[in-house]
Amino acid sequence: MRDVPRSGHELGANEDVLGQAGEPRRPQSRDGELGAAVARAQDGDETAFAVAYRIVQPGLLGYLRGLVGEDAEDVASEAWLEIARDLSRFRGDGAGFRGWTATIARHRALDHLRRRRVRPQAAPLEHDALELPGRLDTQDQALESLSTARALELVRTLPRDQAEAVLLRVVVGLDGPAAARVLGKRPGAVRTAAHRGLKRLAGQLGVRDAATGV
Amino acid sequence: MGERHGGDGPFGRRRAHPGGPLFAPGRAYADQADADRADSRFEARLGAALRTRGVDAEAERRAVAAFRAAHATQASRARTRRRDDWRPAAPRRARVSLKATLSVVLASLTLGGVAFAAIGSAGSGTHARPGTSLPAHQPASTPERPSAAGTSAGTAHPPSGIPSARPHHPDTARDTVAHCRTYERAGNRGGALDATAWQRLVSAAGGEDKVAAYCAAQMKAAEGKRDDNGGNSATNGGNSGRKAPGKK
Repeated sequence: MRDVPRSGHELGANEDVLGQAGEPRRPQSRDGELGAAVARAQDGDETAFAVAYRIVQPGLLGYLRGLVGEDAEDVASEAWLEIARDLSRFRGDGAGFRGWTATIARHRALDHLRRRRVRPQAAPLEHDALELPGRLDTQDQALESLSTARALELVRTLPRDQAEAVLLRVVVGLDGPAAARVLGKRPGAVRTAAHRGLKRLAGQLGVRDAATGV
Repeated sequence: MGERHGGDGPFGRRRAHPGGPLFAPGRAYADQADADRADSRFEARLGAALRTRGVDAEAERRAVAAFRAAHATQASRARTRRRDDWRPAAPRRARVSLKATLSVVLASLTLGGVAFAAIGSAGSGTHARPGTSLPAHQPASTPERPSAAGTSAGTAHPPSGIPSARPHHPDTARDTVAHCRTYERAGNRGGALDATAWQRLVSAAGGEDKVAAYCAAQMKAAEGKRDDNGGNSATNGGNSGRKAPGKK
């Protein structure tokens, strides 16, 4: 099973420490639950569909915010209409459902961008991002102070391919091959894009400054 | 904060970043695992910051309503398209590889057969051609190589002075006639001839566009010689297939 943690930590204990902000930080931990909910929803269970929605939506919305900004909620609603309509076509487990829904959401987002004829990342905030203070003593301090708005600003300064690779990986929780399938690219290219994007974000967060100070 | 993650980042299967750690290489990490932990901690924090907290109840209600409506109207499960199939790929890959293997085997058998057939048609046209009443070994003296008159027992010995790697191969003149026949059978294209034979024919004729005329002349000459030597009654230059069955 792909959602079994490889470490010695118990899933429950993991959830506990991860849940400090009110939700687990590792979407994969719930892939088993998600897969079961999807299967029941395909048999017509409305409650199960709502469960799947609640598991998937936070990551999906985070991904869409990175793509279309403040229109993310509207695009997500469109995507869910399509997901609900086509659910009976879907085959796969919980992780597969994340990939399938991300693909649908991405298509809706690209349609939306075409309609709007606006590039996904206008980058007016890049300047600020580069001037982030490097006075934070440790990487952890830099990360603890990271707000949602700030993180979103930073991601949206990335080139589109890097931003999408990062979002699919850390926000939606897809593995390399699944992210590659969503983007229609080779896994190696997506892995490289994600790595470059994360490295750049780490640098912009002042982590590098903190590190060289050690 | 190291306890927040057991070591696996959101990409559990990836053990290390392809391009080294995300953070400055100068940083003092105890080992690679430590650097990986720092990376996955960063990814986890970033993911947490970007994921929305909770879900909007109204949006959820709309999605569930859409699900209910879709389920009510769909009589049976819709067809699964390729893009809807997110099952793990292992079984599918196995099927594909079996199919691929069979295709390769079939293709190589086909190509091998074609190659074998091509050798047969280009190399032994004179001997193996059905429907002709040619004697097994024709005298093969030609205007070009009068010294190589191998009339005795076929062409087991290559003509002296001309090295040949194929001792049982007919000499060049008969090769030429055979190639010309193949050429004409193939509808005046070089396609049925192998590259070497075609090149030889072209150089003998003195140009690709002269091959047809050259071949006509060669075959006429061959017919004439056969008539002379065999002494049968077919008209000079006539079709070799129209020969009288018996000799007068």
